[in-house]
Amino acid sequence: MATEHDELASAVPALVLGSLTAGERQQLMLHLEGCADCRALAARLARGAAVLPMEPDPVEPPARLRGRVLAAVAAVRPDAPLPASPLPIPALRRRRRLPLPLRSVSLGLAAAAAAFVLGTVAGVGFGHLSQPFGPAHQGQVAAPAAARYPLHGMGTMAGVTADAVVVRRDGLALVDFRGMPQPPAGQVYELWLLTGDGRALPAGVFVPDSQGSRVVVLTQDLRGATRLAVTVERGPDGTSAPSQEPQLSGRII
Amino acid sequence: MTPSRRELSEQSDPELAAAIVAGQIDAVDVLFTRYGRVAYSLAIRILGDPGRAEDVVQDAFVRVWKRASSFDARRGSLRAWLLTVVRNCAIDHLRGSLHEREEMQLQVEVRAEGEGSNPWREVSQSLERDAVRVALRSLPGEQRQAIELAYYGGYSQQEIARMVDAPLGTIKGRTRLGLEKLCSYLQGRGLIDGD
Repeated sequence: MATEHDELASAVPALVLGSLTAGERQQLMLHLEGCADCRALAARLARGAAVLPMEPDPVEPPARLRGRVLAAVAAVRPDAPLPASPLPIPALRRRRRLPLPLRSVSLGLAAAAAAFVLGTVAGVGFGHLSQPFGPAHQGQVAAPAAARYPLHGMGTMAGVTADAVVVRRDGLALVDFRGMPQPPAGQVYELWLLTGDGRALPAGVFVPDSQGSRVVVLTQDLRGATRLAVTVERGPDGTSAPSQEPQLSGRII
Repeated sequence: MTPSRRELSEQSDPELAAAIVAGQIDAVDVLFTRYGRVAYSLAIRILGDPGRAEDVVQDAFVRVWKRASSFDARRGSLRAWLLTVVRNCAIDHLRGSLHEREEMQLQVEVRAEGEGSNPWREVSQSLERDAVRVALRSLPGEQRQAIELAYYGGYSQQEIARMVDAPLGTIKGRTRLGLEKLCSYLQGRGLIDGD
């Protein structure tokens, strides 16, 4: 007749293969603490289980995956409390039109857009220019692979926290928004890439979730972009040129 | 002084793990260079879907980054830890689990891994893969099936027993025997340490 020990020992192979339920695992781990035989068995079998990941046919990951990983890593802080489920990172809705330079839009919009670009490039109305802080936590030095830049808000967005994470080598950027107020009915937030030569390129629209959070991934070409900015525009697709001064902005180089 | 990306790429896995704990994103970049392909291949093997495999690899690297301080190099290798995380993330995706599996670190020593130059790493990984395949093929089909359903499918012993219509005790026995033989084979070829 099987003893309790035998019963627990028979679960060790499943333990090292990672196929026990949380409750079963917890019970067995408690047993292992006090049972040297089962500990030795687990250690021995674990050596075999540890090489199983090497068995599959090698498949080269797509080139974009490295950038995705680095952007996602740079967006979180080590040892932060885990969310209940994996953090969704929705891509921004793809724009139907190509980004337009300011000279191609109407005069009224062009004037607003010009003021917008001048304001953000000069840092007017935003206190001080933002500084990249590279490290994801204190004590970390600037990381060339992926750099983090804070965006600064004003007015209704003064309390918003937003960080842009840029993996320039892979042309990827991710923006993590927290504490965003909901835009007025029928309107959306629109992201803009501001270039060094004074253009504002639409980079997508989004609406925060009910908690005011949203993580968005920019899929646009980042070459030439020096700043990111956010305005409130008409929904659902936003506009081709900003109609107001930015509520939130920061540099990304 | 913080090592550069180039210096990190020449460091051993334990040194790389320390750099990750220190919060160096470049170390994650190097980790991806070293094991991104193995991680992605494992995720594909479990999920059979490139898109979901990408999500899993991203989630796994984020989890390693977030929990780096809990990694204990004395209890196992960085590669083993990363791949356990990848496997668990993939099973969670596959089974629709709402709860993340906890990564368990048991004392595991696996030899040919992660050290040295890129060409040698490629060669050693290829040799290791061949050895693992031969070892698995050498197992009786029922033992191999029990191991593969548990590891790559995330099925519990009870579920496997129902799937193959065999008593639970039989499944437990097959799994243990299969793992024992796998260990003996790999140990005999110097791939893993003995007791």
